[in-house]
Amino acid sequence: MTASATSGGRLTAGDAAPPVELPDTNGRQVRLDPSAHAATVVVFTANGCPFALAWHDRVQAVARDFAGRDVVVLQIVSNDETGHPEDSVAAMRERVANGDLAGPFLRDADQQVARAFGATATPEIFVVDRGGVVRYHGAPDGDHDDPSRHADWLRTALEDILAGRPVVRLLHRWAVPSSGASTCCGGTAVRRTNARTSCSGPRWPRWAERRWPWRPSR
Amino acid sequence: MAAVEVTTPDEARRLGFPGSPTFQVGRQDLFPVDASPALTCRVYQRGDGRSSPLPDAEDLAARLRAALLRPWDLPHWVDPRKPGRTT
Repeated sequence: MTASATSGGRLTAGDAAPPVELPDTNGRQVRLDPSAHAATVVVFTANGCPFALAWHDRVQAVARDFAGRDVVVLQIVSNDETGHPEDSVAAMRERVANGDLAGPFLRDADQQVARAFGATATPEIFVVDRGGVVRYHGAPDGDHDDPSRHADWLRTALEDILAGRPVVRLLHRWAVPSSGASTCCGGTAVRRTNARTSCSGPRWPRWAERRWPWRPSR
Repeated sequence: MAAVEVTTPDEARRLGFPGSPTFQVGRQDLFPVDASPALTCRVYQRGDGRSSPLPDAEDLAARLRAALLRPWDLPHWVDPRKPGRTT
């Protein structure tokens, strides 16, 4: 696994995405190669996070709907499995076997990739364009509890990227995009000193829409 | 009503805290779950089958009403007529 940034800063629109290479549930290395796709969606998720689960089907629908449009969705579990066996590779493998995933499901056991992106929530999404630049960062949509939203923030961002337009949402740091809406959740143990995904909580401005993301995990 | 923040694994073990949020009346979980104590999130299944960080409001209210029907049966209930005595 490789990942570049270690500063602990959170990437957002306009930042260069770090290189990523992680094993999938079969141990096969999967590399983030932005130049290979019109857009690459990097989703930090967790198997036991209620917010990630609430949005899960919507994210899979995006992966399926955009698969034929040169978009790949990489879903990454970075949680410390200590005390949270649901985030182990074995548990991930089970979800894959159940057909729960619509794309590569990657394990970031040492959390280097989460740290490189500065991800602290689940689900937390970064959309990277062909040039390797983060064009969208945020939640799938504005309400985990409303499936009718259909991950519309993410879909809109992808449509903008595919059309060669500026991404309307998230034009600048901390503005609109780092889209509000609550993502997970509290307390899924990820190593304290490292990047924390799942149940997390970044420092979004209070005016950000709704409750995304939640407080940091321990 | 009291909100209790569980901040350490030891505390979670001591309280038998299966994750956040947990709703208890008389130290009994309104949504009993077979899970080890942990600092984690709970996943509630909604009536329509969806997973959620919170239970259905109606379900929570119903369980709360049921749990409070006979408060004197709850452990640690304090009889307001006899302060200091608990069940």
